[in-house]
Amino acid sequence: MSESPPATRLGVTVTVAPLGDVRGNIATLLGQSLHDLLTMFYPPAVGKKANVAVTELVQNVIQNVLDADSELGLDLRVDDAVLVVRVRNKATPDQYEAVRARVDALAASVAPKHLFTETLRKRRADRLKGGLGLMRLVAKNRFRLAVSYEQEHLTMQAAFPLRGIQ
Amino acid sequence: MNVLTYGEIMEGGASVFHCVVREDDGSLFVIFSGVVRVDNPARHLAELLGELRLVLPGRTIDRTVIDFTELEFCNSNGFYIIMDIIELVYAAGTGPVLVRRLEEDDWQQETLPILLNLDEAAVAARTSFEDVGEI
Repeated sequence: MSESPPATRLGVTVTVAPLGDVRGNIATLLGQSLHDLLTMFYPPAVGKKANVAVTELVQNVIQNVLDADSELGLDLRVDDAVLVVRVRNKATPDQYEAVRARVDALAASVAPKHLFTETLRKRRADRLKGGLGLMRLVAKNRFRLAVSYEQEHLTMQAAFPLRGIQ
Repeated sequence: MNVLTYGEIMEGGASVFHCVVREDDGSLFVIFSGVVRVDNPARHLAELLGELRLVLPGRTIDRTVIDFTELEFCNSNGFYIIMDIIELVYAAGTGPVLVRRLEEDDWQQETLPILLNLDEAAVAARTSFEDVGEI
């Protein structure tokens, strides 16, 4: 019986500083670039997963920049077992607590899809921007989220298991 | 085939998203293509929504086809505008609606039914899907 060769291991780190220099839609640019890179080695579905995670997490950072001199760090790793996207940025303890509360609520939800649907309708009625990105990653894309805070920096991680996708 | 209205999103000087609404002998075709990545898609497509509100009411529409197979990406800010367009299209007729979507695109398989409001029995009864393999 022949075994398939191990999948390509790929890692990309991007840092941007100062964030005040960002002109244009950097979330889009990074999401699309990494999508294109991943689809050289992985099925399109993996590239799309990376695209969604990178776009939503970077967009969250750009919409909540605290310090124009601070840095955005993006780290993407993928192998045959898991796709991991980490985004790091400067944040206040209050911002971290707010993000952590949302991540905990999503993790605790027995019906994340229902939560997503209800939140989408509520926010649409009020025309509220944002607030759906993390929920979308969990409820619709089955990412596992984790958040940590160290030395004034928040790190958001989205992981997607790849066993069986190829 | 008449083009009733058309909307697009420009980004960095390039057209990245189109929505074309066509009519042909009682059939309405709504085609989404490209990517919705901009921060505020509603601003780009406000004119399209305004035109849809003008051209759709009173028109005889026997069947509708909404085609998402060329929509490559939609960020969460794009969900509301997709919902706005879909709502107007469904309100314009009472006939069947065929939704063409990509078979292997998670958001089209899982999020799209929510944007279409399939929980609503009247909407679900009119809607069928054609799952299309990505080329």
